[in-house]
Amino acid sequence: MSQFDIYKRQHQSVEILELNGELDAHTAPVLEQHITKLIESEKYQIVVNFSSLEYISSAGLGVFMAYIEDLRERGGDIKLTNMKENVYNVFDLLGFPTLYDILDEESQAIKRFQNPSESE
Amino acid sequence: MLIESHDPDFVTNNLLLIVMGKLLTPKAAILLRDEKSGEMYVASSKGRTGLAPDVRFHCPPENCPVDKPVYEIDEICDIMPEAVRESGLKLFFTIRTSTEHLGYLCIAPKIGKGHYPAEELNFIENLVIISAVALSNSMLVSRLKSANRELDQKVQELNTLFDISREFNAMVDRSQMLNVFRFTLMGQMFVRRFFFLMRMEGKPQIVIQHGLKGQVSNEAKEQILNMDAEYLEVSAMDNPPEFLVQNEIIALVRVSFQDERAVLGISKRANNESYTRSDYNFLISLGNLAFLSIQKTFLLESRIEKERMEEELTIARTIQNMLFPSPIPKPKPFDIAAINVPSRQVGGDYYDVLCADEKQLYLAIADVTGKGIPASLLMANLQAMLHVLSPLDLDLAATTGKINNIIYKNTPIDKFISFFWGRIDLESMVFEYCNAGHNPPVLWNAEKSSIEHLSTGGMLLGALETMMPYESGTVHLNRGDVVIMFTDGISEAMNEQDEEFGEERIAELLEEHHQKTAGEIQRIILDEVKAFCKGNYGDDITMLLFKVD
Repeated sequence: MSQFDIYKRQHQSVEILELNGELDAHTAPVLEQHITKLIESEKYQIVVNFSSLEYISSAGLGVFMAYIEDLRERGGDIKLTNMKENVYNVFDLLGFPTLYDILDEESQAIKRFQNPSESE
Repeated sequence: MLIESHDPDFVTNNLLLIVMGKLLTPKAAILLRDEKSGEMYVASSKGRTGLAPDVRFHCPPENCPVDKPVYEIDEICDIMPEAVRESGLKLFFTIRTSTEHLGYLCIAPKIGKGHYPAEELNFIENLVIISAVALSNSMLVSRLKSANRELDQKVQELNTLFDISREFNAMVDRSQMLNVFRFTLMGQMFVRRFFFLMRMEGKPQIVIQHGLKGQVSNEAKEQILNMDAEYLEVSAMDNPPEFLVQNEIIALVRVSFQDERAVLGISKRANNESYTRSDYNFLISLGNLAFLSIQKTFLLESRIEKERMEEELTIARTIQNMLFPSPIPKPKPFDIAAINVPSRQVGGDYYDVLCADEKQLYLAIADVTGKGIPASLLMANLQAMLHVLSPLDLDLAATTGKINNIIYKNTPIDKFISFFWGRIDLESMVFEYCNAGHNPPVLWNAEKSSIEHLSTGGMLLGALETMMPYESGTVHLNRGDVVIMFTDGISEAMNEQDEEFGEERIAELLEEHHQKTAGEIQRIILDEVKAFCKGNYGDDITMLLFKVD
């Protein structure tokens, strides 16, 4: 079975989830739990750091799809950072860059949350 | 530089810049043929041509002149749309390789004077030839890139199906399964709203959805489930349910297995791209996988339920076995044999042998209408009554009347019990009995060497409240007498010609074998019945017989 862990950090108002291992149909519910917990505790600014994620399947992407609207309606967002090339390719193939902020570095994502006017 | 580039836009852009710089023309454009649609389109234009980048026009290759390196607008205007004719572009250089015609490089007249010197035109012609090769190469490269991307998408689709089927195989929990399905669908299709409708326990139900608002009527669900096509776009429906329109569900995909079907409805993609034939194929595969896996969970649940029922029945059987006497009391001088074989796990037949004290022996046999659990409950009820009543030395006929009233209150009107019981006084050897609608037991009277039937009593238990008192019959038992009590499972066992074994045959067998032991007589009758019906007993089988030694 696939290995998957999430480490949680915080940078001021921004919640950072660091994904490790493989995010697929089997492990997607784990990520879902983390995100719903953040939403329940009214944390709507989420950065997901993919630096240690080795593999992602469509089910993994689906978790982001399922909560993005919810978060944006509450004035928050999920920003995705530090993807390995193979992981980014999946996001790209399925069209995600049109809807999500996908950034090279976690710090850029945090900056965008802090100064939304400066972004783009 | 032009030749090395693999980017068609770079090539067209530079070609235009070089041409305009060299010829000092204020306007130029490149028209190319779109490989997919076959239409011509404006690939690039500079200067005030008035050509928007989305200008497209139909122009079949066979109508396009390609033989001359360059055409005047007058020679070519019949294939050009108005936008091009009015753009002020006058000269059309044919862009072609040795095998294919790619399009035209179009330029306006020179600033100031109208005509280009021949050497300038020559130069452009040569430039166009070189560019054509570069353009053709770069188009090939982008074709390859797009083919590669399509391939990657197919691989991703396959990975997704593999991922989800592996997960489904390992799962039994329906809600987890539906959740995984939800994520996979939303991730792969890039959609934010969807529903999955299937018939569950006869009713159409949305088993999982995301992002939908409002209620769906059953009529709408039925209408959706009854769609004819394998997939269809809501915009093509004659009368789409309000619920679909309201939630911006734009496509429906149907999956079916045997007579069951389910429908997956999805909103537009988050990037507004439309669904292709290939997407629909993927959705059908994913939908089928989910549908079968969900059905699997229902089957599994019913199997678990069935196993639980079977386990309970086994326990019930054990309990019922304990309601029969074991060991059977055999006070002297009685030889007693008994057997009960329910046709199901538990049954409604009953027999009992009770020897409350040294003075009296009770024998009983009963048959509850129906089979299985309902019958076994009544049988247990009757058994409890007899065990309480028999030690009290009550009047047999009057007690039968009281038992009837209790059974009547305890049972629905279509449930009855045929019942026979008797009490032998061990000192006087008087056998008093009462037959409540049961098949009359057969008595072998050794003294008279004749058969008698024990039928005195009254009506079936549980049919009506006792109005007419039950009567009891009396027999004086002598050495060699045999009494056989049985249920209709024996007398009504059927052969292949639909004939019943019959009470007469039991009497005949008894007459023939009365000198044998109780066990032997029982064995003989059972063997005969078995041979008669070829082992296809339709009912519970019970027999109780005793012989006076």
